[in-house]
This record gives sequence, structure tokens and C-alpha cells, in this order.
Amino acid sequence: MKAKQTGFWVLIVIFVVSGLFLTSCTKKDVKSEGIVSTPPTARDDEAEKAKKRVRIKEQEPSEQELRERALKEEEARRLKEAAEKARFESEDIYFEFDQYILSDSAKGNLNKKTQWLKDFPAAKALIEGHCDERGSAEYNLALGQKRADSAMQYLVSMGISANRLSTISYGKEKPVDTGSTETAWAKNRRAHFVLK
Amino acid sequence: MFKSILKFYLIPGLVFMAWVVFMALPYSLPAARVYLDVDSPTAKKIPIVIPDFKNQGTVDAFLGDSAAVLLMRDLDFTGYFQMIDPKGFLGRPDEPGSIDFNAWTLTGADLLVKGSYRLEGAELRMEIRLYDLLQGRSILGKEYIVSSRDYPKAIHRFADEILFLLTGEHGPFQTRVAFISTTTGNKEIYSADFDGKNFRRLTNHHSITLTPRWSPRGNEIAYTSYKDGTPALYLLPVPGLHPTRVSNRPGVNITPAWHPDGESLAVALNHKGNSQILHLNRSGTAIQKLTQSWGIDVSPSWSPDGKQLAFVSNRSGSPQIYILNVSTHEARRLTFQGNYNVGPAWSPKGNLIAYAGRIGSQFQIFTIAPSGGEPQRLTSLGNNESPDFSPEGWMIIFTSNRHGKSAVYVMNSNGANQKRITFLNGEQFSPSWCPKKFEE
Repeated sequence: MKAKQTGFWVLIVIFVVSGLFLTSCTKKDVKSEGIVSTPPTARDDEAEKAKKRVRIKEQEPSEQELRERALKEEEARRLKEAAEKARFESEDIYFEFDQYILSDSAKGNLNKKTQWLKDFPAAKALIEGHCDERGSAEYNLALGQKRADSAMQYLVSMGISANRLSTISYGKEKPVDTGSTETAWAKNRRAHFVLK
Repeated sequence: MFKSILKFYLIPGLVFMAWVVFMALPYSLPAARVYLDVDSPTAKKIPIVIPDFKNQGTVDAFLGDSAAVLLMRDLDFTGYFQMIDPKGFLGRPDEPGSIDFNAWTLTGADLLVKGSYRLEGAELRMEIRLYDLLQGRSILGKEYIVSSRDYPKAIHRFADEILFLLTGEHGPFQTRVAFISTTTGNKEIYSADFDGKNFRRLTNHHSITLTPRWSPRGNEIAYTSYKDGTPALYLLPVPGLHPTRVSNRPGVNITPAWHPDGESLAVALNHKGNSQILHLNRSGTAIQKLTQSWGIDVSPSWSPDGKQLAFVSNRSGSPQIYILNVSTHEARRLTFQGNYNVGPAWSPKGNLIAYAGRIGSQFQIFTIAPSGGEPQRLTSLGNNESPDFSPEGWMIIFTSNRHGKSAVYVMNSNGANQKRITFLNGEQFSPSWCPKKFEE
């Protein structure tokens, strides 16, 4: 069986090589348009040949290779999950000054978080409400709570069980950006997610 | 610890004398002799001269600042006095019982304080008199016997006597204040004398600790801390090390305000998405719901009779001050100028509410009558927040960043005489003036 196959491949190789030889010999004599595409054909053959060589190898994958491949796939899957989990925690949702209603982009972000929470039904999340430095510390504590509540209520309305979610307000006590610019303030008016 | 070890022994004869002088004042002084109208923003400062106290013993008694310097500092703190340099006195040195009133008058002073002291063992015996130079007579006299290291307390007490005699108002000289400071890197509660001196740290939570509020009796501080993970409400005995957690409801447990009865508090809680102010007893049990809205209700402050409650609500769309009638549960809006008015503090006399209102990008302190009307703006330099009244109501403590970082300042309730009182590392926030004297 094996000998027969090898013979077949040898024949193919001979055929292809002679074909190549013939093509390269006839090339300069050929002028008609139809035969201009010959060189690509030759290259295709080359690729085909390489593929076949690979296929030969593939037909004998060791246990070791199979294991490695499985591990690689597992690793890729883990990395992807870790990235999704990291994104769940790192992608804050943002608010306007003195507001706790959800913008469309905040809802878009929350929709992604909803999907993730559905994919991982054991996960529990703490939602932190934060404010920028403007406004009083006391009022901002209450405002931060409303922001966390808004995000939580949205997730619950999307079908996430309330007992998987909890909230805390840090008011303006924990800014991510301590600057006093519009950009810093916008970054600080946020609901941040932490997996428990 | 704050309770004074010091005891005042007033010699019966001098008590009698001070009593007689005090009682005799309305008759012995011309009816038109009004020393100071504290309500007048343009009141002229009273020129007063306080030469060094005379040591009648052999041992120098003062370990720190001299008694005269302390007394000048106290009186100057009020903004009601102009300190005259005693070096301007060109008369002959006074003999006991004979004071050259004319020569003292030439310094430009209207009032003269003369003191003498004698250290006897560990006891300091101090006699202090206040003279009206225009009348050429003593109008106040006291003798104090104190442990020698506590002489500043006798001076604070005499400063208070002077102020009460001249204005009918007690001074803050025997009171303490509390505030938040980031000196250690964390927000912790500190207390200090009325002038920021003798400060000490009261908490060591290594967390976020906020809004200390001194109880009416001065023996407890209510505050919010994240020390156990969430913003819960605690009561700290003063003096004392171990706070009791009184409310840890889901959401926030913030902005405590002592009811005038000293037994209960209004607290902002956020429960199931509803922001509300609850009346809690001192163990944290709800007495009644005071406000409830779908938005934010926060930062309560009781009227002195406990019948009304000022608070902040965004029910109109932006944070504004409202006043709740506690029995009818009706709330009316108090502030209409500006789109961010927060942190109301009701004055002890009931006639004013101080708050912080935003102008441009910064907060300024305002006062307004509880019935409404035109607010009076008191500050203009830097960002100014978190007003609270002194026990007698004629001073306001607040925070300002006018000199860089946020620090604690005081001013008279008409905005005059603004001065910084904390010079600690880090920033200071959220001051509370203890309603009770520590000497009692």
C-alpha cells in the first residue's frame, strides 16, 4: 500500500518536472494571448507540489503533536477569554456632568457586558460609581451611587440576576485621572466594573 | 482627655467683685456707651492695649507664649479688636491701685487689660482686669487659680468674659473643631482648638473617612468611613478610640446631621435606587423617613428647634437647597440663584443658612434667611466650601484653597475677618464646629 502510493507520487513529480521543462522551453515561441497565463500555472503547480509535500507529512502526526495542538487551541481560547474578562473590567461606562442617565454608547458597552455575564453565569460583578472633582464631595457620593444603580438596573433589565450584581459609590474619592481638565473629568465620570 | 483637668477656683471676694462690676455696668456706664454691635458689618474695631502681665513671684510661670500674647491672639481672632502696641505707652510704670489712665489713653486705646500672676508650687494664681480708659475705671476683674501648664485655658476664659461683656456674645475660645485631613496619606479625622492649634488625629482607619459631625453635647462625632469596605455610618466617642457602626445599609450611609436632641441623626441613604433622608436613632434604627425622591436627596441640617430640615436635592434638575417641614413632610425650594448649591448649615440662632454655591468653576460661601430672599455672598478668593457655624453662630468655619491646597478657614458670619487656621501637611476638608465648650 505504502509502496504503491510512493510510486504514484514519484510519477506525479516526474510529470510535473517534465511539464515545467517543456513550458520553459516553449515559452519564448509562444505569442498568442491565450498562453500568456502559463507561468502562473507553473507557479500553481509549484504550490500544489508544496502542499502535497505538507500533506505527506500531515498524514503522520504524532501523539505529541496532537497534544501540542490541543494545548495551543486551549491557550488561544484562554487568552481570548482573559481578554474578554479584562475588557469587561477595563471598559468603563461614562456619564455627562451631574448626570446618571445612560448614553447610547454606555448602553452599547453594557450590552457587551450583559453578553459576557450570560456567557459566564457564575461570574459576579461589583459596579463602582465615580464622579469628577467638580461638585461637593457629599453630593458626589450620592451621585456616584446613582450612576452605579443606573448601570445595575440596565443589566437587570437585560436579564442579569440582581443577586450577581452589587454597587458601591466612591464619589470623587478615587479619580483615574487626577488632572483638572475636561479630558480628565470625562474619564472620571464613570461606572467601573470589578469581578468578584 | 479634652475634659479639663484644670479647675477654676474663683476667690469668693473677687467673684463678688466681678459680679458687682458686671451688674453695675448698665447703671454706671452712660446709656449710650455701646461697645460693639456685632451685627453691623461696618462696626469699628475696638482699640485695646494689653501689656505683658506682671510677675509678682520669683519664678517665671509661662512655658509657652506669654499670657498677654495669648489674650491678644484670642481677641484678635474675633476681628472685633484693634491691637495697640503697649510700647506706645509713655507714662510712668503703673503702681498697684494707681493706673495712669491718661497716658494709656494716649496710646490710642479705649480699653486696657492688666494682668499679674504668681506661681505657687504647681499652682498659678492669675489676676486680670479690664479697664475702660475713657471712663477711667475697671469694668471686669477675675482671679484664676489653675495648674501652671493650663494657664492658656484661664486666658481663653477671660477672653470670653471680655467678649461677652462687650458684645453680649460668647466667644469660641473654649471650643474645638473637627475636620478631615490627608496628612497621613489617608483621609482621617482630626480635632483642634478653635484656632487650629493643639490638633490631634482621632481616627486611624487607613481608608476613606468623611464628614465628621460633632454631637450637640460634644462627646461624640458621627461620620462616614469606608473602613469596613462600604460607606457606612459610625459614632466615635470623644475622647475615645473605638467607633460604633450604626448604619451599614446597602448603598451609601452618608452626611449625618445631629438632631438638636443629641439622640438622633438625619442621614442620607440610597436604598434600592431611591435616595432618601432618614431620621435614625443613635443605634441606627429608623425613626421615620424624612425625604424621598427618585433623584438625589443629601446633606441634611436641622433647624435649632428640630422642626425643619434644610437639605440638598436635585429634584428640580440641579442640586439646590430645600427646606422640609418635618411634621407635614412638605419641602420648599430655598435657593434659586446658580445651578449648584450644596452643603447647607443652619445657624444656632436659626436666622441664617450658610451653603456653598458654584459661580463659574468655583464654589463660594453664601448665607440666606431660612424664609428665602437675597443670598449674601461671603467669599471671593479661590474655591470655598463646607460652611459650619460656631456655637454662638457669629463665626463660620469653612474650607478654602485660596492659598493652594484646601485648608480650614474661619470668618465672621457677615464675611469679615477671614483667616486660615490649619497649616498641616496634606489637605483639609469638611470642618465641624463643636457646639459645646470643653471647659464645662
